[in-house]
Amino acid sequence: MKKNVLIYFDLITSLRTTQEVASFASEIDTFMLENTLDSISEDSARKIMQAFSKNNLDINNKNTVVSFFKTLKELLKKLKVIKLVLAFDPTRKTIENIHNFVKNIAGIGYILDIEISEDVLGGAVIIFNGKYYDFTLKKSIEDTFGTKNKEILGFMQ
Amino acid sequence: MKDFKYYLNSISEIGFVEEASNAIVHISGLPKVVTSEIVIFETGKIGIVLSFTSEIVEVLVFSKEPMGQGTKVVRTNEFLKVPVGKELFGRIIDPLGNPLTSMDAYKKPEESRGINSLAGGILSRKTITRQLETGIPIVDLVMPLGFGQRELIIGDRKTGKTNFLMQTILAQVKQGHICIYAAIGKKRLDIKDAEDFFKKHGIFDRVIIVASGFDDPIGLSYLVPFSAMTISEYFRDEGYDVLLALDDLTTHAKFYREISLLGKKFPGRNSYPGDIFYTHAKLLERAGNFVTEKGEKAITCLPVVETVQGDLSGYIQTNIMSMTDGHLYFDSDLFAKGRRPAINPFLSVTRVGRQTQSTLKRDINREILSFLTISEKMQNFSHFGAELTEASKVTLAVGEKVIKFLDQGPSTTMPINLQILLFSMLWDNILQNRNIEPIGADVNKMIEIYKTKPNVSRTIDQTITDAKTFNDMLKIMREKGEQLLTSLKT
Repeated sequence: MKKNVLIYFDLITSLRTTQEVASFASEIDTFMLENTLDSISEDSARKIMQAFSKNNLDINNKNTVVSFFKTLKELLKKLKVIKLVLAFDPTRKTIENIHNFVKNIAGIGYILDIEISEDVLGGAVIIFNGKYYDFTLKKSIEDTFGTKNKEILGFMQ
Repeated sequence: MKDFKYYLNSISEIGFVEEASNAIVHISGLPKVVTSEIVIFETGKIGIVLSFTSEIVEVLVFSKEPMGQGTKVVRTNEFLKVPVGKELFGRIIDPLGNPLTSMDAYKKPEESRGINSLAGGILSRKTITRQLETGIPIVDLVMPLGFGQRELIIGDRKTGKTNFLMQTILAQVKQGHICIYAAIGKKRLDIKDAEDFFKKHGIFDRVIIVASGFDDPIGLSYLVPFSAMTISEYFRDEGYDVLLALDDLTTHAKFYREISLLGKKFPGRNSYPGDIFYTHAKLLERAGNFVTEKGEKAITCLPVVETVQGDLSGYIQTNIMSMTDGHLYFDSDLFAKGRRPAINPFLSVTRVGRQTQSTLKRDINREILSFLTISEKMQNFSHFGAELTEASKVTLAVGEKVIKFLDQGPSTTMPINLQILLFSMLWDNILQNRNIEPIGADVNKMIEIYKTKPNVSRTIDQTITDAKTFNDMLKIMREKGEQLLTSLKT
């Protein structure tokens, strides 16, 4: 059983965001339907080829392929989502850094759901497992104005 | 209650709407939510947690607007409460304490109470010993009710059940008690009619209407009786005897069925959920006669249940019959014959009412019931066209008078001592000798005199106190009957 999960390790760790997972899942569906790697993106095709060859699986055996992708899709559904609300559109490098940070702390099996909202001004809101953590600049400013109202007024005068 | 943002920042838990079907919404997230907790949606709407699994929270929403998938939700760490206080007198509110009609200067009471409180245990209860006066002879003399009794009002639609409730509320308020009328899923016009009735008789300042319209969200309609019961409990603890009318529990059961089916609970008999008995029992169990810090105080509950073509063996009907201390059956045949209220004494039951009666009242009760049985039999017999004896003719004539006496106009209430006096006079032929009809203008005038002339009412009350049995009463009638009647006529 453990071996079964390990054969998907590379594929799963290569996915970082919910968008990537959704697009990869749809590519799996396309591949299953058309039965040729030409029907999907070059990058995904390469990853799949690598996973099959590394684990000595026969890509031409229909039963092996069906069983492989069925398990893979179930594993993708089980990935835990960390929602991030950011004030900017992160680059691929930034996403990679955040994902690596999560991987180092919590291990594999986590993906990022990134929402962009300029309202937060800076910092991030993190939503995970129903918990809500607000580390935004907007909240800091609101808190400052809420708690140090008099001091700010005095300073301005 | 604060807003969405406040709870999001203070509790730091969030959920997202995954699936919505009418009033039931399934939510992911909110890891520490508990059942019956209030949740707030980012749109400002509120809901109550019905159940949860490790993945999904099931919420009942108090709004008709559809919830979009992905809508954010926060928990509040608060439970459903209804504002309670004297500010509610003369108001029509929804179960959350919001005004239903535009009401000038309505200030929501500051105190509030949890809607789902547990019923008081056996030690907090006391035997029912005080009679509740409805002002309706057929109930007070034949099917008496006690303070703290739960008496089911059952019958087909349009048989005068709500009218009976209105009359009882009128009689109770006039005796200084507090009445709460819970209108569950009623038409707006019916709610307005109830309001107009209370206003017309000048008693609205001692009545609270907790209502939901038939087009309101089903979650709100489900809460109405619980909310009304919570308000009743508040006034009981404040030292008042409360009369609570629940109009009606068949509709409530239908709303609960809808909620349960939407929540994918397994349907049972007639598609009602398995816990429909529990739901109604936990509500009605909260009524009764209690020992409070302010003495013996009661919540008398009159739940209404509708039957279809007089069928008393329906699921909800039998459920509620088994939870209550008797029932008053409103017969559509009697209603068609012109009897008001159309209570059928032979199919009605009062389990604790008779223990509140004095020997005199019990004597009268027995006398009327046995006489009505004989008179009914004789009437059936006379239908065959058989020649009747003189005795039978007399019995039929008296029977007709007694039935007339038990009839009553929709907004008349007769004090119980006057009922006893008039019945005794009728029994002793005093009324007949003076050509006085035991109904209509003659009786209304006597009620008016009894209520407005303290010396007359004092004499009558004393006469009734002096009579220990019905025989004593008849003896007194023979001696002083004419004189008492004259005092009531002038």
